[in-house]
Amino acid sequence: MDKYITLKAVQFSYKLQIIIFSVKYNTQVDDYTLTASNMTKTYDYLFKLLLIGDSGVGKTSVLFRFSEDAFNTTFISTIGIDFKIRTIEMDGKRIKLQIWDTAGQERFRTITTAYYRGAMGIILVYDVTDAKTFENIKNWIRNIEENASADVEKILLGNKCELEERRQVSKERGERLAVEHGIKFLETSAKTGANVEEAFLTLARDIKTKTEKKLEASNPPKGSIQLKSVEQNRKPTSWFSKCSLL
Amino acid sequence: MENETKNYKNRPKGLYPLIIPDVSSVNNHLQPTEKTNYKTKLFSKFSHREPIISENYENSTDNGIQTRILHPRSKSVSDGRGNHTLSNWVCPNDRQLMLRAKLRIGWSVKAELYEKYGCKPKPLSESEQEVISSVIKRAEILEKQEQERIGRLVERLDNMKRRALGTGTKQCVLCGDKFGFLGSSSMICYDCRKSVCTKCGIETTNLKEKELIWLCKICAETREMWKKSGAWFYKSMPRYILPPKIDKFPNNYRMCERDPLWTKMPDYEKIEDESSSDDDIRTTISAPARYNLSGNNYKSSNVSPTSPGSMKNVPVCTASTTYPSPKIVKITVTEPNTNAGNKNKQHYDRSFRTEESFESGSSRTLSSESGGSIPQIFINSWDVDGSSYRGSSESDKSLISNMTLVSFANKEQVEEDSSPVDSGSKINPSMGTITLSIQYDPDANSLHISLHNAKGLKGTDINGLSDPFCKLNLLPVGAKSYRLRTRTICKSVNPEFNETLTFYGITDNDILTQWLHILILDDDKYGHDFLGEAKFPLNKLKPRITRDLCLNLEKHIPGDSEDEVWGEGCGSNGQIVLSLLYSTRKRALIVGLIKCINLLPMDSNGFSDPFVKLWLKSPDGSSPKYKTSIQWKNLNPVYNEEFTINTKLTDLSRKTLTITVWDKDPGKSNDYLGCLELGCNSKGDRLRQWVDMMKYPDHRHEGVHNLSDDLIRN
Repeated sequence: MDKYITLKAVQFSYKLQIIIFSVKYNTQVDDYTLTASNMTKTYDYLFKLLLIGDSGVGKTSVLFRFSEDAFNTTFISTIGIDFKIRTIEMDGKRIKLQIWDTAGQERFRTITTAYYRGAMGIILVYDVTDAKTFENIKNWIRNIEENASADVEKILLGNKCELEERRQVSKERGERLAVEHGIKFLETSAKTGANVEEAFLTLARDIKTKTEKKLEASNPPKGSIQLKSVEQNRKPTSWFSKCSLL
Repeated sequence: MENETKNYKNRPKGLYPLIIPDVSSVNNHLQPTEKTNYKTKLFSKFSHREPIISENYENSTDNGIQTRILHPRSKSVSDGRGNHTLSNWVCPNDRQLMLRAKLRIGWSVKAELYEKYGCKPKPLSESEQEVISSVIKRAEILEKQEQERIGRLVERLDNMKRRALGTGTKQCVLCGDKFGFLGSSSMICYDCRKSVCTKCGIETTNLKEKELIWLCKICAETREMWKKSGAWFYKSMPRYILPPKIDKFPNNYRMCERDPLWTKMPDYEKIEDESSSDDDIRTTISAPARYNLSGNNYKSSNVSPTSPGSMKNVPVCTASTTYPSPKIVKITVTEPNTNAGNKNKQHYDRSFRTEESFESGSSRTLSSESGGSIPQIFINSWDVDGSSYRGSSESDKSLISNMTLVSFANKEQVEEDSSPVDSGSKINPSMGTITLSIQYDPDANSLHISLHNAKGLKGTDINGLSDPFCKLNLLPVGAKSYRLRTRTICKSVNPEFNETLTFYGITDNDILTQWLHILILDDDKYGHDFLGEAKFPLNKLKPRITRDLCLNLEKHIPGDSEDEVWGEGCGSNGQIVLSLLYSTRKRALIVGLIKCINLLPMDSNGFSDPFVKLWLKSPDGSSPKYKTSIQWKNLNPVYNEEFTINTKLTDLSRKTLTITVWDKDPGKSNDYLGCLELGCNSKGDRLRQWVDMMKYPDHRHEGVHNLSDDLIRN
């Protein structure tokens, strides 16, 4: 009897191995299908961009043009904040852009400034038909300096450039301001779609380039000082390099 | 509209109103002017209040209000949204800002106004709040996706690090290939400065210095992760959620091949119950769920060849026992959400696999002051000293919420040191815990240690149980130091020792400098497997005051003082190196006898003439016996012989491989040198090797085992 029980126990324990084995097999398959289904949605980078500028300059329209490739003439003031997503491909990498659209109105300022800090790129927008909004760009830039991260990439957009007859700010003025602050400049039109795509892509590219520069400049992953080795340029040691005359 | 525009344009620019020193007068002007604008320019119906019209002020507002009026769309807006939109404000210009700064009336013209009239900047209406919170919710979903993605990156890198085989000096850090004459050529990784072979390295250009550099795959992946996660921008790893464990299940499983011990699932459910009363600190364990799932799989899939009828006999509770535990410490952290305006708290569940990390934590200490190594996780870190012990769960909570979680920490240290009363709210330790009380009696120069119990130890045998006992030692080892041992508690992973051991001859000086070292070992005739160790600095003790402690067990790192921790008589018979392989083609177990180490000398010349006998024992009878050649006058014989024993794979679980080592004495009876039994009744490494052999047929599984001096005869 005793022997029988131990026999059973041993048999049972062996079955357990099989169970575990089969379970393992199953979960492996699950895991695989899971990653496969995720593959379609996945992306390599997530860049967070921010649109700022006076109320009515067309931030939402620019974003709408970029994300949906459409335009709407009715003006609906943005309430506080909003964001849109678009995934672009650049150098074989999928970059997900999360573009935050802020309200230009003063009353939402507390909400909107909270989003400066997390932004990797900021798009400053003014209205070429409204000189005031252009003059205010300086203040927006100061706002960025105060609230955003120091590494943030910026781009200046003069929107509504299709309204040539009502233009108040010349392209040269815009360029001059951009050069002053060392940022890129484009004149866009959300209505016709001119330069909108370029603006976002330029900014994304700038951020991507910065990514690589940053990494090599400080090499942060280690978080410690790396000693420079004398062997830095060591060539592959081949068999004959090991030979030496004794 | 056109005319109005002209009017505005033609208006003479007067003095800017804000330089009027009397601030209140400015404010008086401010409010009504808006009304004026409404009334006169657009909404004549808004005449309920007689405006105090000031020429000065009219001019001043041409920054803000006029712009709005000129805007081609503003009319439609104002129609739809009432007069709010009209007072839209644009960023003030430099001059305005400067003046406001001088007058200290706030950033905007309105700021002062709101204060004066006691109305906040038009508090968001409910519909607006809804819109914003829906946006924030959407953003949170996205954020969660992102955190999961980063979690996958982190896990990928972790797995990579775990699979790295080499040392990086004379071997490739990744694949472990030796460099040298015929081996691969070596490169130095630019980041970690370890040697890497050309296959495991990646050549890349350094953008800054425009030179070619080599990176090992781990460092390349680290860089990649740094880039992809956005850590380059945030200067640290952003928050992440590791993928759910069910995803990692196969990985863990594979990893366990290198894990020396079989383990029993710790009692997750119990811990969850204990901590469920606490809202903020939750020990969320998904392990039971996993087992449920595995049970489902089993029932639905029928992959196993066993008949469904026999499965019914399988008790559910034991289904998890033989499973090698992933040993995951799951930490739930509560931190306030940083998103604007959102007061909700978010729970971040993070799981850290600690088993590997303990290996690197050799220098760890138990006190919370040991902040030396940078990536650390303090789960409960309060001063062990009884006086400053903050035992309430309130402080516990705050501590946990303040805790900064370290990103892809190489050395995650889970530190825990508290009284047993709190053990309920604590995280589930990977190696188990031990509770004990210590009292130092300076009058008798003695140190009394009462070992109460240990919980959640690893299991070493097939049922997930162990035969634990404790060994106590005082570190550093001095001339007069000795070790104490408790009795062995058989077949338990939660042993109740209830034993008091006393160190005598302990001076005040010893108390200041020494550490109590507790080792929990598994009692086995082939050598004691380590179940865990704990250290406690004695200087935390106060004379004559009993300290109750609950210490977390750590993985033991075998050091130079190996002889001390291995029990006397264990391993003294020498060791045997053998490999097991089940060949499905030959339908046979192939035992490779590689060598023996440090055998006992039996002959008068100080050597032995060892040979090895082996056979497969089963309840129904034994296989024929196999013998190796005799290595004359050798205590470290190398055989490199293979024996093929025909057997069915399914029968192996009932069989035991019995190996005996003998000293050949011509003309006399042979001397017995030691034995080893491998089978499902074995424990620890031996069991692991045996089960691996069955689980992964057609793979060689090598192992080094101690010989026992028990006499086995067939």
